[in-house]
Amino acid sequence: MSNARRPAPLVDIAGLTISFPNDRGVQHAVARNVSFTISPGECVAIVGESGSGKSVTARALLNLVGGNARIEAERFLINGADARAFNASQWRRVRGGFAGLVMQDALTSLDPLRTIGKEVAEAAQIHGLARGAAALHTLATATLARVGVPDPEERARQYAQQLSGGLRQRALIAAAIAGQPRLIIADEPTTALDASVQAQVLSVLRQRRDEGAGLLLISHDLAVVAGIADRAMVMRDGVVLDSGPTQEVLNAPRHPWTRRLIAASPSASTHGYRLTRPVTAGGANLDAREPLPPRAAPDLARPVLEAHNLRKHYRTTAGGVFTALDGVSFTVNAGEVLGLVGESGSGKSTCAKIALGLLEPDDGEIHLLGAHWTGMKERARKHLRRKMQYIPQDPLSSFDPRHTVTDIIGENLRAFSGMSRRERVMDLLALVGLDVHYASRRPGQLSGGQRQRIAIARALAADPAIIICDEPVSALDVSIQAQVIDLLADLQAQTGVALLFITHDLGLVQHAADRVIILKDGRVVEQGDARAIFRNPSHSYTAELVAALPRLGFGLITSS
Amino acid sequence: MTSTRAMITKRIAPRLLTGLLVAWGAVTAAFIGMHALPGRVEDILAGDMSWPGLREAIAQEWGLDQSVWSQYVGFIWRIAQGDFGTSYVMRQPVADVIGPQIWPTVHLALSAGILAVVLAVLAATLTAGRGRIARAAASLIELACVSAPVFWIGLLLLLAFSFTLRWFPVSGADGWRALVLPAVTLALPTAGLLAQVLREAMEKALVQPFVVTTRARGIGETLLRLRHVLRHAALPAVTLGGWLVGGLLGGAVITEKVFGRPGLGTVTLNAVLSQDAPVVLAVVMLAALIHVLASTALDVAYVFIDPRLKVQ
Amino acid sequence: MTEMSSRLSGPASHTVTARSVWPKPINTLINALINFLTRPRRLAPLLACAWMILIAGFAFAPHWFTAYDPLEGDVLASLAAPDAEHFLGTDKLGRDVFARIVYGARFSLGVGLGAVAISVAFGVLLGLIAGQRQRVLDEGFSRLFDVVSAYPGVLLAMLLITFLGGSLVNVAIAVGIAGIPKFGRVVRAQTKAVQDADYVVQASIYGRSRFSAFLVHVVPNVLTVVPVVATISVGTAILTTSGLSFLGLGPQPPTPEWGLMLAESRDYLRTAWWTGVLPGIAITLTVIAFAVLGGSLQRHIEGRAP
Repeated sequence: MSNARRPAPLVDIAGLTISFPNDRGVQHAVARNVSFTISPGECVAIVGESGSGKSVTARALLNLVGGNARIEAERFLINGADARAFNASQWRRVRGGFAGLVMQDALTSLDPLRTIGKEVAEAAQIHGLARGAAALHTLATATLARVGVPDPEERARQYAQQLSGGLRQRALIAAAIAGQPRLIIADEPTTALDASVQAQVLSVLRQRRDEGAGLLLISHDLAVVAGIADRAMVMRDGVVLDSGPTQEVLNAPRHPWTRRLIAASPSASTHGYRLTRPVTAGGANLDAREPLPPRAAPDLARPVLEAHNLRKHYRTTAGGVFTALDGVSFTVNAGEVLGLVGESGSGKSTCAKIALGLLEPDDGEIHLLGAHWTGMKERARKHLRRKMQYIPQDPLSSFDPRHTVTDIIGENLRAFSGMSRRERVMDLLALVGLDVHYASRRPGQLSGGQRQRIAIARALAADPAIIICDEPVSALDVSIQAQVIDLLADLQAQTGVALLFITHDLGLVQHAADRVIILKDGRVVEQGDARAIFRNPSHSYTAELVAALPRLGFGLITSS
Repeated sequence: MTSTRAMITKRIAPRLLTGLLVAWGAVTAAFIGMHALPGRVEDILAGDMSWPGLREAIAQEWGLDQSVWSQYVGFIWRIAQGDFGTSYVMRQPVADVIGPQIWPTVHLALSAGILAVVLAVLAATLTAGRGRIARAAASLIELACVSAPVFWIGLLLLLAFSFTLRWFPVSGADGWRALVLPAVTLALPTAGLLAQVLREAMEKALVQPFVVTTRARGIGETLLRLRHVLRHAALPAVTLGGWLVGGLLGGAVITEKVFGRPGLGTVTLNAVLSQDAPVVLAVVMLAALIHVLASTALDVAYVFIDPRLKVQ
Repeated sequence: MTEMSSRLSGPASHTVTARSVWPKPINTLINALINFLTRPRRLAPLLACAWMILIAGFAFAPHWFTAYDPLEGDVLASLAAPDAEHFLGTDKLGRDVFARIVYGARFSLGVGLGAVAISVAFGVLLGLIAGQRQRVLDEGFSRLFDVVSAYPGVLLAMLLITFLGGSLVNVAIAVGIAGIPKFGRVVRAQTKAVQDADYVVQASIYGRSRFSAFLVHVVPNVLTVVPVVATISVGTAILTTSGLSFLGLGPQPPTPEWGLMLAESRDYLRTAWWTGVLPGIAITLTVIAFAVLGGSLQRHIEGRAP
């Protein structure tokens, strides 16, 4: 493809460096020497983890990086004009008029005190595309209809919190395109959305691109990028490590970091293997995927946790009844990893709460190690408490902010006292791969991965028969997630503890679980072998889930 | 919008209930106070007055020869009818004592309140999230306004504008010139507090994701602040509103004394000093009533500022 | 972002920690104090500390600071402007203004601390009770707070003084009672929030009984908010007290109380500004100092507990 046949690029940037002054006034670069172009009808993706500089690079296109940032570039052309010389009003014309921004969480990205209609119409009003309340309302409903929002008339009068996650995200896209921008900047537009909703939102964006808009997609998710981007850049610590056509970057990554990132994505084919790579010179050999340590087969004759016919209803504020669980039964056997999969609202969190005894079911019962668990007095089940432990999605909120790591892990070691408790804490820290000096840290001083390791150590401290893991890695970056998953797998093999692994991530559950249960609207729709069930789904909902799943789908992901 | 009406009713009802409780609490506390204190009830009610037949008159009006319980019921019944009894010090009904004084005080408090809101909104909108120096300077001024005694601010203003510059009269209540210094005096502490709250809330709102999205639509900074951010900042300020109204009323008493203005302040102060209990009680209940009404009004305003409440 | 924010919040290695010879709460307190004193983020808390120490010195040992008697005046030196002899001037009765400010510190501090002690004692207790998951108690105490706070502080104090009579102690009691709802509400809200926090809800998973979790997790985390509000409240209590003194409802002349001094100065303001300006500065600076200390205490606590 020669450059001459391409239309003029919307954005043409070379040597972009963005820096912030630190406390002492020294400039610290968050993006260094970044170059890229975006043409009409083209989707360019920037992939990276938190702190990689991907968002700040995207924001630089709108000059919305933040107060005291310094932006330098060898070439910074927006729509052919040198943006380095733009004044405030020229930038305002770029924002919303030339480029629209879609951010992650529509609930907080739309002004919660204003109606959807007003929010959507605002860009058009500012850029003079429509005048008067009636014209703006018409424009808002038309734009909402364009992104596939049903009943746009009614939606326009509602507030962001009244809409479902998917509709809200589409409304946010509508608000971004209402000023008829030629470029759409989408910063993690589908993060935290369920797979099926994610697919819908991506298709709306894809449609805009097919109609000729340029699209800059910021994502941490390689699979999302693989499905939509024409070209991709991989960033880490402010530097572009890999860039080129998406197929090339993902199929034949040049940089070892890109290879590690791709290898860290869990899937059916990574089952039984490590997600992390030993850091070796010359990059990781993709065929050298390391197997996980051997583990004892689950003992199907020894059930650890049996849930029978659980039901739970909630009263809604509107006076209705919401059925969270509708006859859910499952069994976790000794040494088994059972995956519990479902989208938001499927009842998986309610399941976890009931299993942990934090919530009583309306009907049905649970046995822990053969003993009655639900409906018992707390005093009666206290001796069994330590047999069932918990790893929450957000361990930070499960730590007393005033306590040190020693106190937190020690809370579960109350059979020990004094020095022996301290020694146990040190042993557990070593077990989860943390240095002893973390013992005196407080939760606020730990990174996300470290917190999750502490949560694992705390759970193991009780020497449990089963650990309930509720989305244990979904808030972590892919590379950190891979470390935590590998750690859990190692420790599971070592201790033979059973895991009830609750997740919305189909790739992860296929990687980690022996068996899987699929929940939808409080019912079990399908269960069986964690990989076979997705290869040959017998229930239509499972098939839908599999279809909505964005996938890398390249040979290199599968292990030989 | 039936939901709006339902929401408002839901918020007003407990407020009015509180209002009743406030009134009842004040009456009961005063009643218990009169009986629990050492000394005879007649002496307390008489204050420092004494003339032949006074004690008998009091005993008859308050039914002191009856049981405590029926005294209490009678007391509440009279107050429920708006009869606060007689000021024996002033030798006239309480209503006649305080009635004419209500408007001057409300006039002062209202002017000061409006001035305070205007000053606070200006200060917060202009300085929130701006350069360090502007913010530091504004914060310092606000802190000084909040921390300085209101009567001292009054004295300083008198010293500067009345004694030295002679722009405004030293005391009195004739015309707008006499109102300027008292209103400013009373407004400054409230404005300082309100500006602090508003700015903090605006700075919190300014880092919300929706501000980035809104800026990305090409909005100008002023419009962004007025249309989006100020509304968010108003929420915590409104919840403070009732408290501020109380502060304005309390401050008005002191301000009136500084500037020698007629009003509830002078009446109350004289009543306290001569231990004229019926008058003090009536003033305090009046202030509590105003406080409750203001809180109720602000609660309704809250529903209109934050639509999330009515659609939940 | 988590990685980044933890890096920004700074390593703990720079902090000096107290040796663990003390019981744990005291140890924590000492560490907090050391931390607080050794890492002044800004100048303001430092200046506030300096002013507090000075005022505390005034209150405890006034004779170290001035040789003049606050009550005995030199009538010949009536309303003398600040000069070498009386460096803040004298009042109508020829009393040294500086000496009166020095001796007045103990009244302001005493009333402020006394009033807040009353507010804290009752407010914290009632707030902790109201914050329990008992609807009746919660509603009852919340209404009580509403009722008490419906009376403007100054007027409530005036009502009490009408019955009790004007004196310094009665002013402290009145201001203290008026401050109870503030603490009650803050503690109630914090109790509710902490009780619903994951680390309390989940404590049973880690083998704690409800009562044990309440003592170990809830109470300490609730009480962290009290010092901040209390510090700022001392300032506001001093402010209210001075207002009542100004109205003549507090201590009576010739007590060298700051509010009273200002009241007495009103008639000579035109000729002797120092009598009416300087005690006001003393009040204002003291209230500011408490506000600044409260603010930095809050930043300190928030910085540790995200």
